[in-house]
Amino acid sequence: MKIRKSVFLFAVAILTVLFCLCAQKAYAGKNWSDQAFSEKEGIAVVGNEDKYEAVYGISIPEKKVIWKVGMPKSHSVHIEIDGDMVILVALEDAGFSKNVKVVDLKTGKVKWEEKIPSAARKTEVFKDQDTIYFGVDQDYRDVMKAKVYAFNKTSGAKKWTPYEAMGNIKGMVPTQNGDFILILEKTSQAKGNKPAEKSIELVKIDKNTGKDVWVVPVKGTFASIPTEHESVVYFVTQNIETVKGSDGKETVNIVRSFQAVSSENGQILSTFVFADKDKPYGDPVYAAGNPVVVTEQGKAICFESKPSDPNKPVKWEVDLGAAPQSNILVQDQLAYIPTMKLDGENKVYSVVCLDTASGQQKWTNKVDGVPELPLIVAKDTVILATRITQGEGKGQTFQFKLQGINPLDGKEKWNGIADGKLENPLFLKDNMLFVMLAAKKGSKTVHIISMYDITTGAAKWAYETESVINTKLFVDEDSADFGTKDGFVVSVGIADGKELYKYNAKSELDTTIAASDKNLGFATQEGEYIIINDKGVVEKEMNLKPWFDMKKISILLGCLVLSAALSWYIYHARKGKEMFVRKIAGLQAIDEAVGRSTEMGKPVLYITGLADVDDIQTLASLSILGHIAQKTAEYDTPLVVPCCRSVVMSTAQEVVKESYLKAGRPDTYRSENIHYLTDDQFGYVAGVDGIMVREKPAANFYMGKFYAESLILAETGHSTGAIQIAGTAEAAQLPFFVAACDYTLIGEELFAASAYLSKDAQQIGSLKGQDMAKAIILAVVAAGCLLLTFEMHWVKLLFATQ
Amino acid sequence: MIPTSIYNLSVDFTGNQLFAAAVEAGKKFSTGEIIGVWIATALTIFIFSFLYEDNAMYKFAEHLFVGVSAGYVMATTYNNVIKPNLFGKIQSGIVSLMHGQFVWKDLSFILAGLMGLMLLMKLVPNMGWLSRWPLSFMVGIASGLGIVFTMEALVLKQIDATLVPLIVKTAANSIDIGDTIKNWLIVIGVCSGLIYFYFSKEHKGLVFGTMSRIGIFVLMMAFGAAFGYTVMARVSLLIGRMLFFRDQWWPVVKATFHF
Amino acid sequence: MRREIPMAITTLTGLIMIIVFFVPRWEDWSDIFLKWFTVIAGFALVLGAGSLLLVNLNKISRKASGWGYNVVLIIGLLATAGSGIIQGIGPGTMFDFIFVYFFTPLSATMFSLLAFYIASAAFRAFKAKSLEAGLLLVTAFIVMLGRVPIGEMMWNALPFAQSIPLTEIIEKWIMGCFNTAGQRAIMLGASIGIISVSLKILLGIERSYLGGGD
Repeated sequence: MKIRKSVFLFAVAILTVLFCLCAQKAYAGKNWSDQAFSEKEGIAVVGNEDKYEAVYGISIPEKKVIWKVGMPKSHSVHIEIDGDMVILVALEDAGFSKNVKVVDLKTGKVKWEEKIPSAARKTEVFKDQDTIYFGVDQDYRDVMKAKVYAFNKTSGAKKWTPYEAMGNIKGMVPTQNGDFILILEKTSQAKGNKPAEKSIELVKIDKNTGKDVWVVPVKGTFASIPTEHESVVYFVTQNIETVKGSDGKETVNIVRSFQAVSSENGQILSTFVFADKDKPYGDPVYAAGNPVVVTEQGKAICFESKPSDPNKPVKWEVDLGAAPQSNILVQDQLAYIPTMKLDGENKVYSVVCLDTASGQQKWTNKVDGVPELPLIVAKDTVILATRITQGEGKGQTFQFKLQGINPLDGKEKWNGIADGKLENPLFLKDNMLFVMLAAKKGSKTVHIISMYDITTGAAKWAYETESVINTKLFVDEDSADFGTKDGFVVSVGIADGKELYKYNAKSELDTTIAASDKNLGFATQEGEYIIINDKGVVEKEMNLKPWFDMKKISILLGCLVLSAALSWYIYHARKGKEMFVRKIAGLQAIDEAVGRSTEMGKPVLYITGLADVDDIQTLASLSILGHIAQKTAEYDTPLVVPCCRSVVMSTAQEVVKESYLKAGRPDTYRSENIHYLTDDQFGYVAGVDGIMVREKPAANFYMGKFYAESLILAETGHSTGAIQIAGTAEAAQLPFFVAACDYTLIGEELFAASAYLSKDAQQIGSLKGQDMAKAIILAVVAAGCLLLTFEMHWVKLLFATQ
Repeated sequence: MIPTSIYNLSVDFTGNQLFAAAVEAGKKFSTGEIIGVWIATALTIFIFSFLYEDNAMYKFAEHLFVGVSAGYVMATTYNNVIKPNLFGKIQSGIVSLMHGQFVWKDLSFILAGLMGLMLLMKLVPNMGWLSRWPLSFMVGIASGLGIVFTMEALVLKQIDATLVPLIVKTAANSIDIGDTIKNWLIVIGVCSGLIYFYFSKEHKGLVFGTMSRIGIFVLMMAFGAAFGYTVMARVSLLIGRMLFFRDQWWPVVKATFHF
Repeated sequence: MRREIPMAITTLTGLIMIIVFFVPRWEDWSDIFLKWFTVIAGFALVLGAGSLLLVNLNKISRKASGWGYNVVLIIGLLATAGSGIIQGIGPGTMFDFIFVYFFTPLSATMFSLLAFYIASAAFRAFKAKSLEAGLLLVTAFIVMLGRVPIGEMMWNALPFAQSIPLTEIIEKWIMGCFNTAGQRAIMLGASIGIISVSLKILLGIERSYLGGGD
């Protein structure tokens, strides 16, 4: 018998593992990475955001998954299409290395694959004609090292031994002649009373040898992202300096400076330290051959790109007289800056236009309301959108004003006004400007997409919907398409704004929309990739979710083992095997409690807990209620069951009725004694307290799931002098029942109670099975602890559920 | 839409604090607010009166509470469950159907509505048996989830947490006596606690007698700890209720009697 | 058949819930079934309301003692449910007024009664009758000391307080060790109980929820 049992369990385990391995066919899941799309081939490449176990290549013209590449479990993956190949970079599950795969776009064949040790999430990628360069950080016991790897694009062969330097990679800035500059940030170790210092290094790497050509160290940290224009790298740094004053007090100063470094030879071309109060607003912007920086305080400074005196790089400097609201926007030598100035308590907004060659202010336009950013500058029109707010609090309304401005003189060419508030940034395609507004209409909020012709400023059409639009607008030749929060994909005709179709995608889109040959492709949050045609009719729905979740294999095994143990004993009990069950004190006392109520002529109160029938504790409680009801029927004692849930009430009535029938006293059953009070926790407690103090039951039973109210019930019951028996599996409430009740069924005892009371052989068998399950857990804990003691940490993985 | 006020249930202090801050900022009370706070004050006192003994005030508050809270549950269930989950889904399914698309996941809620109606058949003589069908469905959900979720969230997680090395080493590779003892106590505590729950063996003998005795000791200490930990939390609830009188009631008293 | 069909429904639903848990492709159904559950439970409130009205109207019609209170209950029920269903539950509605000035203070006060009850329960536990009760009391007392500033002060006055700080006893040994072990044993035991009852329901052995045993 013993041997058969273990063989049975072993077979179950083996079968499960086999099943899982076979089921491991396709696995991706919810939450897609945004799709990478090759317009030439019509192939979309998608992967899944939180567990990148596979990346799919989907051909939209062929309407099918054309390939699948398995990826290690990962938290983030980088998908990039480069010509006819796809570069995939994933952080591996354990988080200690990056898995790089280069895949053929059309066939999905893995051309080469490489593991790069790195614990950092970010990967910098730079590509040229035939080489891919990866910049990664590696952590060696708190010391950060940066490494740059170079692989041949087609063969994956390493071009040179990786370049190594101390520090973190902040970026690989492409230069105009096809090279890149490696940007590092370093932190020196604190020594004695000298604090850790941060510094920057710019490194030019020879792409043929992998050796550095030049290294430029700069004090401080980056305050902007470096950019390169015409062989000069521009960036802003900040550096914290402590200055000791004459009174001995230390003050902390933040020193910000503009830097220009030649990308040809690493020579520092200029350094400009900003005045104390000036804080650069954003990155230097390259305008008409020179970088321009605006500061939060309202200065615009233009630097010479290659100054003759490195200490005097300023070409011109202008005080705008107001604070910029965004970085400057440059087109055709003109720079546009939205600004704000305080006039008393009022905020006055304007847009300033500068000539970047001379720094001369060409025009300044005051605007009503708050400018919506970013500004849009079309070929010969500056488009300025503003938000005008009226009223306050609940009655607040918004208006949206659109102006077309002549860039040369700042004169208004046209304007338009509409009710509502801009929801998404303005979107310009050719001469069409798409505006997405949310406006109040009665008690409802409607979302409006309108299209303006920016040459005339005329509103061509407006499309109105009650659904929230939550994707970018996808505009092609004759329609504008978007996804909504309630799971629809809507297509609107670009000429007239009429709805062409509305497709129910059943859930929100999780990627942008890709289009190929009039068909649209997108992934939904439910894990489907859907292709629809220009009539809005589905061409193909591909469910890419896996058939089995490998992460749950330990749960499956656990369920099988415990179920097998339980079923085994139930089966044997059914065949008539006698099984011993020890006495449980709380259950022994039931007879006594009901008997006492009968003697005193008082009712019995039974509480099934606060949970609905979706909690097993409630079901266990209802089962115990059946047995107690039989006792009260036999003794002819009233049984009061106030319920907190309607379904529980309905079920309890059935259970009690059946018990009275079984006891042969159906005539004494009173359905109104089993009644509903309220679903609300404390409302229920108030009601039950009232019953306790007024009807003074002599026996109170609290069986099921309880929250904080447990103690109110038990203490009130105690004050009325009733015998109290409680049972719950809520560990947090057990202390209160133990303290205030005469008997308490702790945890598992509650579930065992119905089996115990039923005296049914199969039920008793299940108790024995539960003991077997505990024995298995005890054995697992003992073995696991021993293995861990000998540092076999893999044992922990067996129980990982995430 | 859930009422905004649901988030500042005044069992915590925020409700009082917000009110006090508004008063500080020169808040003018509307008649509704003045009446409301007086009602709240009366009801608070009525409930507290139960501590002395059952009386007419408590009886009034109790019956009102049961009625109002039952009504509250019904209104929120209608607005947050029936409206979006039943009417909303079916409507969306029908709209798609008119667009020529059969969305089974939305239309299936008709079945849920039917089951809801079946449950009400209990009220119709001779049709009561039909109400068992939706009940069976609900119990089926509970028992299905009961197996898998319990295994995931309780069994495996708790076993995993109990797996600890029985000899803990310090960084200098010597034995950390404190942590080693702690780990032993945890493992023995869990194991003895489990043995206490053995049903098929009498709590007698060396293994089951001693271990189950240790088990009940560990359980009692756990109960004591939880009890002690909760006391201050409960006292702070009372303080929160007392602050109601200072932060809400007193400003309203002043507003009512104009001083 | 009146029993077999419901049992089959239970088993089938339970199995579906288990299967969809492991199959990501069908995982939405778990969510949908749970939503169905809330819809059915929503319908059940009609039964609850019926029961509440029946019991109270019965008392009113019998002019049972204190029937006036039952009138209060019915008015409270109808006013709240009625206003919430007809007018909606947003801010500024009558429902919101009832919520803020009736429901919230009643709830909060009922909850705060716990402060008195926990005191009386603690007082009773002081009369520890057995070793087990004594253990509960001592542990509770030490943890309680740690939660109030005065407890820390009293502890520090003891001669051996320097070598064992109170917080270490509480955090590391009582909470981190005995409380953890005890809670874990309860949770493990209870979860086996839950799995066992669930399995019995699925196998049709436990069917008392359908009314009676056999």
